[in-house]
Amino acid sequence: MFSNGIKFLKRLPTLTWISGGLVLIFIFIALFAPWLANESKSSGIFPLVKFGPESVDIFKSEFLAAPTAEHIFGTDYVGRDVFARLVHGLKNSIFFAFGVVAVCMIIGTLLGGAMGFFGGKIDLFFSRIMEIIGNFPIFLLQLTLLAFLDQGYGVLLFVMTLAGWIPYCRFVRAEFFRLRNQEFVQAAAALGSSKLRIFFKHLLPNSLTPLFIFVPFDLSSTIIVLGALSFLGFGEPVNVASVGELLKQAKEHFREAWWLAVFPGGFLFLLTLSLALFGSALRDLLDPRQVNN
Amino acid sequence: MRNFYRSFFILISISSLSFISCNRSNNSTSDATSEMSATNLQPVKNDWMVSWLAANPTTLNPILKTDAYASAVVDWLFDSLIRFDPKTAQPEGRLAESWEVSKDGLTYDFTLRPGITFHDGHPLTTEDVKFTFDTIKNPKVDAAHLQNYFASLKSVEVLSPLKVRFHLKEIYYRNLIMLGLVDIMPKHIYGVGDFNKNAANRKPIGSGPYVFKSWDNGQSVELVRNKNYFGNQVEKLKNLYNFERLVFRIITEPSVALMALKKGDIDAMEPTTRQYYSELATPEVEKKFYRFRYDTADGNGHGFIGWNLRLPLFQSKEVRQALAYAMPREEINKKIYFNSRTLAVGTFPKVSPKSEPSLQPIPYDSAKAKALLEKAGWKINPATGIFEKDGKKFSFELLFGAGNSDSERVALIYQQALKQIGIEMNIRTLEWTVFVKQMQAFKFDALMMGWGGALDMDPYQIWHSSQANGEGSNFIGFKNPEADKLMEQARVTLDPNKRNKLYHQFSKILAEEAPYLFLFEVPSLFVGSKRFQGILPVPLMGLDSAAWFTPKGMEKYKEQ
Amino acid sequence: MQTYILKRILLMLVTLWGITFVSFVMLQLTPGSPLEMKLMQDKNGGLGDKSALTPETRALLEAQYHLDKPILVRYVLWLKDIARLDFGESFADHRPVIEKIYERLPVSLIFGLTSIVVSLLIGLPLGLLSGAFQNSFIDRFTAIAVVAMYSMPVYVIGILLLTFFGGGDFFNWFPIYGIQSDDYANLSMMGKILDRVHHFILPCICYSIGSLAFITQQQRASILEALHQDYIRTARAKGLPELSVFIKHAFRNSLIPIITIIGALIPSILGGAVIIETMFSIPGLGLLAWESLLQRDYPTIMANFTISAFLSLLGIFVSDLLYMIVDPRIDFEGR
Repeated sequence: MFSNGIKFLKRLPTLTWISGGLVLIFIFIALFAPWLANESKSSGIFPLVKFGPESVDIFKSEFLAAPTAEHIFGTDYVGRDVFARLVHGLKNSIFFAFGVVAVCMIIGTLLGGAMGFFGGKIDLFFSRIMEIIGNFPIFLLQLTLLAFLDQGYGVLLFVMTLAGWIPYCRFVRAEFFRLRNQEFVQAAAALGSSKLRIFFKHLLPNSLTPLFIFVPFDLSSTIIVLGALSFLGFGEPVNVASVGELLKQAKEHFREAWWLAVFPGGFLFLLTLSLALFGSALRDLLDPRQVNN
Repeated sequence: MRNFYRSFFILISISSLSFISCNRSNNSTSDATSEMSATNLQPVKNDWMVSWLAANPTTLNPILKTDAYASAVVDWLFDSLIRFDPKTAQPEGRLAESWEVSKDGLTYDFTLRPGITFHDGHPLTTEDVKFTFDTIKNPKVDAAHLQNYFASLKSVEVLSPLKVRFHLKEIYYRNLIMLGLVDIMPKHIYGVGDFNKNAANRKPIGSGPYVFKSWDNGQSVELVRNKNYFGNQVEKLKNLYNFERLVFRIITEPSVALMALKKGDIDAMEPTTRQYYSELATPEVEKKFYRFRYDTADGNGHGFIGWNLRLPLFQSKEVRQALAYAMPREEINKKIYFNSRTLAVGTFPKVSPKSEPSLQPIPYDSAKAKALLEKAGWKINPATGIFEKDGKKFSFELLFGAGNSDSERVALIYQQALKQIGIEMNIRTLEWTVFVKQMQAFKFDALMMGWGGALDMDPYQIWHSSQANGEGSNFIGFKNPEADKLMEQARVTLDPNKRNKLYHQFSKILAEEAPYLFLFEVPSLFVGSKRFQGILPVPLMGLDSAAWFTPKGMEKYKEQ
Repeated sequence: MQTYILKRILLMLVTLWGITFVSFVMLQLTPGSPLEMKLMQDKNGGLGDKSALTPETRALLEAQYHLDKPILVRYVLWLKDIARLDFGESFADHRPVIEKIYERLPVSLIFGLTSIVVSLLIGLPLGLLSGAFQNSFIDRFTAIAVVAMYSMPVYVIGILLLTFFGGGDFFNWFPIYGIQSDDYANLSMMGKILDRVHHFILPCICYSIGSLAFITQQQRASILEALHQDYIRTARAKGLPELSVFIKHAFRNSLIPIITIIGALIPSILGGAVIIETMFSIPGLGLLAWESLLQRDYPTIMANFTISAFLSLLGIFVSDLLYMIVDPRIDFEGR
C-alpha cells in the first residue's frame, strides 16, 4: 500500500510537484500568519516580522516607503507594513475562499441531489431558479448588494454563494440522474431500502468524488473575485488586511509605489496559478478516461 | 443658479513654484495680474477652449440640474439678473440695468436692459423672469431641493415688460443673492407642456454668451459663441467670452483625464491633490501649463467629524475637546496632503471676514487630550489601556461615505492616534445614499463628511437648534440658545460689518463647544494651458474663465 | 420540435418574469431611495447648505415616485406597463427609459459581439493546440496564460494599456477615451470605420480577456473529451491518418459544446462592463446601469436588467437550437 503510494507520487509530473508544493506553502502561510507577522508584544510568539497587519506608529512610520530591511515589502498608504498586510490578507482570502466553496458545495449538492433524485416538479422549479440566477447580470448584482449593504465577510459570503452553488448543483443533478437507473441503486430499492438511505448511502457518496475536482479551481476563482471586489472597494471593511485592498492602493499610487502592486499582485497570481495547475493535475489523475493517456 | 456653490472671495496663496514659473520677475499677485492681462497681447476670438466633465450631465435644464457637470455647461448658456464683479465683489447689473430695495427690505424691484433676446431671437421680458421663479416654486417641478431654498419668496409681480417686483416674506441678507443669481429661462420654450419632460432640457435655449450646439451623449457637449449677445454692448461684459467654441469632454476616469490633459486634448482641469503634487509637478508640465493652488474666503468647503450630541458619550465639552486634541492634523497634512491643506478653525474659512480672527487651529496634543478626559471623569484601565467611566470603555464608531481613499486614510490615522491615547474607534463605511439615510435618521456615533462652500454663507441651516429635528442639516443635534440668538440676529442684519461681528461671537462659541472636529479646508487646485492669458486668479473671485483669452498667434483650434 | 420550441419559449417567459420579480424586490429593499439622491450634491461627501427636505416636499416626492405604495402594488403597476412594452420614465431626467437604453444598446452590443468574435478567433486555435498536445510545452504555456488572464483584474490591464499605448509618456498610438473622434461627422465612410476601429482596439482587448480565457479553457476540455470518444478510436482503427482524424472528427465535434458557451457569455458581457466603460469613457449599458443604481433610478435599472436578461435568454435559446441542428443526437424532448 505504502510503496504503491510512493510509486504513484514518483509518476507525477514536475509541474504537479511544483504547484502542489506552492499550494502547501500558501496553506502554511494561511495557518501560521500570526507567527509570520505580528506585533512583538504578544507573548510566547516570536514572529518573523515584528509588525501586525494593523500595527503602526503614524508619527514615526514613513508612508509609502520603499522596501528596507525593516519593512521588507515597504509600507502602505498609512505606513503599515506591506508584508504583514499581505500575509494576513492571503490568510483571510484563503480561509474565506474555503468557506465560500464549502457553502456552495453543500447547497449545490443537496439541491442538485434533491432535483436529480425526485425529478419532476421539484426539478422543474429549481431549474427555473438556476436559470433566473444564471441569467442575471450577476457581477452588477454583486456590486449592487455589496455597495448598499454593510461591508463584511457575511455579506461577501452571501454575495459570492449567490451564483456559486449552481455548477455544483448542475453536476450533482446530472450524476444523480445517471446513477438513479444504475443496477446497484435499483437493487437497493428492490431490497426495500428507504429513500433516505438510498440518497445518502448510495447516490451521494458516488457522485461526490468527482465533485472534489472542482475545488481547487473554485478556490482560485473565488480568491480572484474577492480580490477584484475589494480592489473596487466593495470587499472587506476598511481596515481588514486583504490582497485586493493593497492592489486598490496600488491603483492610486502606482507611479510612486511599485511595491504595492508587485508583491500583492505577484502573490495573488502565484496563488491562483498554483491552485489551477494543481487542480488540473488532480483532474488528470482522478478522471479515469485520461489515465491511459 | 450661478455660483451658489462656487467660491467667491479669494485669498491667493499660490504654490510659489508654479507661480514663479509664469512670472519670472515678481511674486506679488496684483503685479502679476496686471502683467498677465497687459493689453499689448491681442486677443483672437476664434480659438476654442476644451474642458473636462467627469460624467455625462443628467440634464441641461438650469432648474432641474442637480450635478456639478450640468452647472459647468449651463452657466454659459443662461444669464441671471445680476452678477458680482470679480474684482470688487460688488453686485452689478447683468440682465437687470438697475434694482431697488424697499425701505422695509421686503420688496425688490428690478429693471431689465431693453432689447435682450434669447438665442432663438425671442425678446426676454419680465414675463420670463416671473415664469422662472414661479417654476422653481411649482411643486410639480422636480426641484425639491430648490423649493426649500426659495421658501421666503412670496410672489413675483410683473409691473411692465421691463420692470418686475419680488415680494419677500422676511428680511434676509442673502435675499439679493437668492433672487439675482437665478438663470432666467424663456417662457415660450419651457412653459409649453410638462416642464420636467421638455425637449429643451437636452437642447437648452437661453440668453447667455454661448449658444448650445450639440450634446453627444456620454462623449462631449459643444457650445458656440452667441453673436447677438447683449453683453457685447455692455461695458463690463464686452471684453469677456473670448472663445469661439467651448467643448466639454466627458471622460469618466480621472487618471485618463489627466493623460488627456498632458496630450493636449483638454486645456484646463481641477486635478486631485495627488495629481497636482506628484504627476503634475514635473518640468514638462511646467513648460506647457499653469499650475496654481489658491484659497478663497467663501471657500470650497471643509471636512469635519461630527459627534452625535444626542448620545451620552459626547455630552461633555471636555470630551469633545479632547477628541479634537487627539487628531494629528499637522501630521496628516504633511503625510497625505503634501501640506496643501489649511487647518480649519471653524465653520467659516479662516480667511473669511466672518471668522473670528483670533481663532487658532487646535494642535495635536495627546497630553492635553488625556488631561481633559480625566477632568471629565474618565480613567485609564491599566489592564486594557483604554479609558473607562462607570465600567464602560470609551469606544465609538466613525461612519463615512465609502470610496474615497483620502477619507479612509484620515480615519485610519485617527484610529491609530486615538488608540495611542486610550480610545477605541471602529470604522464603518457606507455607500453615499445609504450614508445620507443613516445620517438623517441620526443613527451614528460620529460621522465624517464635508460641507461645500457657498457665496456669503449662512450657518443657520447647519447650526440652528430648529434645524436639528430632521428637516434641517443640523444632523448632530447642536443646541445652544446663545448661538441661536446670534444666528437669528445675523440673518436680519443687512450691514456686513455688524453681521460679521455677530458671526465672530458665534465662531467663538463653536470653538469652545467643539461640536465638530473641524478637519481641513479644501483648497482650489488648477492646471491650465499656457496658451491662455488672463488666467491668474483675480483678487476676489477665483478663476474667472470668462475673462480668459488666447493672444494672437497662439491659437490652437481655428474656427473657419 | 415545434412543441419543444413552444415549451422553451414558455419557460423563458417564466424565467424572465422571475428575474424581473427578484430584481424589483431586491432593488426596493436595498437601503436608500431616490429621495436621498435629491440631497446629493457631491459624491465625495459634501452637501450644499440647503440640503434638507421638509415633510411636505418629502411626501410630494414619495407620491411622485410611487414610493408611498407597498412593494407588490408597485411591482404590479410596473408589470402592467411592461406588458405594453412601456418601460416608464426615468427618475433622474424624466426621459422615457426606452430612449436611454436605445441610445446605449448599440455601443454595448458592438463591443460584446466584437469581443466574442475576437476571443473565438484566438481562443479556439489556442485551446485546440493545447488539447491536441496535452502536457506539452504549449499546453503548459496556455494553462498559465489562461490563469494569468483570469487573475489580472481588468482594471489593471486597462490602466497598463492606457498608460503605455495611449498616455503619450511611452507610445501615443491609440485614443484613450470615447468611441469616435471630434471630426467624426466629417469623415468619409472608410474614415469613419477606421476611426471607430482605432477607438475600439484598447477597450476591446479588455472586453475580450475574460471570454478569451474561458473559451480557450472550454475548447481544450472539449477537444480532450472528443479525442476520447469511441468514434475516434474507430476512425484510428480504420487506419485514417492522425491529422484527418483530428480535423474531420475530433475538431468538428469539439465545436458543438462551444456553441452553448457563447450563449452563456452574453450576460457577463452586458453586465460586467461597468469598469471597462468607466475607464474608457464609453457610453454603454453597463455604465448606464451603474449610474442609475447610484441614482436609485429604479425604472432605468429595471429596464436594464430586463433587457439584458432577455438578450441572454435569447442567446441561450438560439445556441440551444443551433446545438440541436448541428447535433441531431441531442434529444431535447426527454430533458
